Amino acid sequence: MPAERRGIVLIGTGTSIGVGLVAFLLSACARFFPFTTAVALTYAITVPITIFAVWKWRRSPPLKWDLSNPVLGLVGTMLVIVLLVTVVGYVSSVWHANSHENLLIQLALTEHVTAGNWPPVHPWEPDTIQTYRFGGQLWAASISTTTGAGVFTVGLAVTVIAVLALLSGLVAALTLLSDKITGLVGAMLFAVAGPQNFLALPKSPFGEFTVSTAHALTIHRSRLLQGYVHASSFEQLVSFSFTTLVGLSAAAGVGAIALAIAQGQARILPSLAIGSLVLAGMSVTSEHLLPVMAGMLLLGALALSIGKQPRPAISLAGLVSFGSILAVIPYGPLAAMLPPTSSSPRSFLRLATDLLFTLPTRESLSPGSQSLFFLTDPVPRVSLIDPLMWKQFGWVLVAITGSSIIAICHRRPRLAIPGIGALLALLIPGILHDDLNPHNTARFTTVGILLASTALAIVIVNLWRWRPATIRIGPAIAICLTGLASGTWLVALGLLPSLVYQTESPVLDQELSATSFTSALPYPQRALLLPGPRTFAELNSSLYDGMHKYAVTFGRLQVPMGFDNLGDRDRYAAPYAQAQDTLQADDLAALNIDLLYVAPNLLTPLQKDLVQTALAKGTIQPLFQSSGGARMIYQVTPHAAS
Amino acid sequence: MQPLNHRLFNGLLVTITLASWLWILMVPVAWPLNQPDRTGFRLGPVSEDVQAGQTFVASEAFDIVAVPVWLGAPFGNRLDLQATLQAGGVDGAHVASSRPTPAYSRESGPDVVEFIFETTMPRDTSLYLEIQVPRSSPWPVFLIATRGDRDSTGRLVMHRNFGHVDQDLIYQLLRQQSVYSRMSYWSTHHPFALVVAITVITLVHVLAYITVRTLSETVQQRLPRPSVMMITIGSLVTATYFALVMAH
Repeated sequence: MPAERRGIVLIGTGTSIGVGLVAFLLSACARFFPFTTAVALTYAITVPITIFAVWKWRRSPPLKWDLSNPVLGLVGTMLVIVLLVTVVGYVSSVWHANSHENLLIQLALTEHVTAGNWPPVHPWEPDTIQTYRFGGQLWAASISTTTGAGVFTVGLAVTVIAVLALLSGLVAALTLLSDKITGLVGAMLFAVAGPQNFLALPKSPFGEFTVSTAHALTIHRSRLLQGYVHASSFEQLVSFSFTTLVGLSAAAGVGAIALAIAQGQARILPSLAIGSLVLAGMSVTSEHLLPVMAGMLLLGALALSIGKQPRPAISLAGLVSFGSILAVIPYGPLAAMLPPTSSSPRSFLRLATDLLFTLPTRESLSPGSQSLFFLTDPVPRVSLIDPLMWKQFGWVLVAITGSSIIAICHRRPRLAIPGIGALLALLIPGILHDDLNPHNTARFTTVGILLASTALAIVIVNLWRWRPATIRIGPAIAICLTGLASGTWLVALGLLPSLVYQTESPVLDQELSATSFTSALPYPQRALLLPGPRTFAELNSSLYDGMHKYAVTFGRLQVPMGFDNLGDRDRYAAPYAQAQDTLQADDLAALNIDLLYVAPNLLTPLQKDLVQTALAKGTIQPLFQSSGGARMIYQVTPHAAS
Repeated sequence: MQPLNHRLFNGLLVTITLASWLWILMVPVAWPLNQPDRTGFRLGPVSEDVQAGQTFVASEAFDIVAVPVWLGAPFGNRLDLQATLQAGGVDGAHVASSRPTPAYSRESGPDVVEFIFETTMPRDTSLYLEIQVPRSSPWPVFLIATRGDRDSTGRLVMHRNFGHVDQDLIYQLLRQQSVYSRMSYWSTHHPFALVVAITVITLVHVLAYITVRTLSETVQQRLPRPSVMMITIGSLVTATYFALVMAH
């Protein structure tokens, strides 16, 4: 963008495409080289590019910021609040059981990749390769490899950088799309928008046996932010899946580049090359963003060709094509499908139109689950214009419709892009079905709602500036819409301290000393946990002080218990349960178990007897005991099996 | 209309903020000390002859016990119940009684009755809580119990006999304290949460101050006077509404 001098556009575009580039280069290089070589190659490419960019920036005319002091103060304070929420959300997901996803699989894979797990086998199904959503983990593992920092620290660093890059990338893209104020409002709404569940607060305590409304809200904080129509708010992505933030950052960069191309502000060839790489990085990191982004770019190309602008139209189509081709290079969902072989994982995705215009609800995740905040029967899906949808996400529907009307009235079709993108994302769960995990398609709902928040920014800014001759109601409607979208976030903000109120493990020091011991053993080590989870629900819980999560993540242990990776759960579940029930040498050998990771204070009398019998038979021998005796590690004696 | 007097407006906002904080710091609030289970089975009917209760050891001093009560009466009817505490166990010495407290028959489910004690009960003392139903009660009274040993410090008691090891009465202990008094507990036991709370509150105040200032400047330049008043009143009404809901 040679003529562009606006600071928020250049810095925002640069940071977000940087994140996408690193994600792609790392995953592509790691496909062909050892991971440490891939890390070295990636930084050998990206560091000189960064130095060149800074050198060029210093030699060019100064950037224009054009932000008044009050606006800077507002943006700065809001950014600090969002970053505080991000940091607390991340910290609580690791130490305070706010959610289980990060520790359970995201950070676990990061730690295992750092230990040399490549191609990335699944820690809970160590005979299968994880083929999706690992771009963020690779980036975190690369930092861990080069700096030696621990997985918690690098995860936090990646999370904070990704959030900054994402928000600045959004500001850049929306500034290019509309103007600076829309960009700032859009980024703010992206971070805070959520379901309108705060409207149901007078109903509290929602059936709990407590007299405290605040306590009831603390119990249901996650569902408050999530809603019955199944989707995660931006705040929850931090604690559920930090890698998705990396994908979203790359998506913001692709959006900014595409808009610069469409407006003739960018040099076509370099933009096309970099944009394609970033698009590929985005798809490796968050595969569900690819169809939405591709759809938006192709619709943009169609609009440009109708407007007789063939050059940018072809460029946008090329961006999608080259990006999709490049996305096949690294291990990833697209590479896993091409070429299909007998060893390829089977696909659980299918297309069908019988549920078009509907969205999955929480019932699809937890059968029988009811809406806490608004009255409804337990239903697996709701229509896009169902009354429940209006109650929980009315602002989303207003944003999509409103931005389209504004685009038509102002004769600026590009203002409809975020709204159309949101609609596209909300339509996908109606036609794409995941037979293995039906709730997985709700990821598209999340993308749709996040995109709708940017469409809402267009509506709000235009309403604020609206000056009809008779009655000036624009600002009032704008304030109401902002309140509807951000009210739940505001209520949840007051509950933030509750996230870090209590630590998950009462024996954390001993747990970490045990994991520190196992992580120093030659990698990989397969372990059986006693007591330990057997089902996905137990896995995704704080059961047994969360020992299983710490053992797999910080302890770098592989636990062949079975997860949900491409339908292999049944292959592990029964043998693992049998090994836990018997501790027989043959059962342990069937799963290639090396270690027995035990919490003696949590064992039942029967399990204590099992351990004593195994010790007496010589099946296991003591290897480690924590200082207080809360954790014991036994080595399974080699050749003990018959 | 006359332009808004900035100094007066700012002074009003600062006064309201300070008064609100003084109120928040000084007014006692009932703080939950444990998390009652959400699911359970109906226990009873309990009566003067068939008493029900729970032994427990409180990890913190308390002065309120909230117990969900199911009154088998037409919706809207009330019955006065009382809770007693005995030291040591079922046959221990009487320690305290709550005032008679009304339990209502509700369509929405059990009524969570707050039994308030005159004195604060100390922590780490073995106690037996018993719900007293008057002999004159015309309606059956049920409590709610749970399985899964949700309270490892005590056991459910029915008709002065212990229930199964994993059974407990559903109850919640609360402590009536002002935020100011509660600060020392948080700083000792939950310092990180306290730091987060203070940081959030500070940042929200800074944000609110800058927002009001920016809006009033923008409004002064571009918008007609009614919009200022609408925004201000709207914000105050919304804030008051949420303050009331949260306070409840």
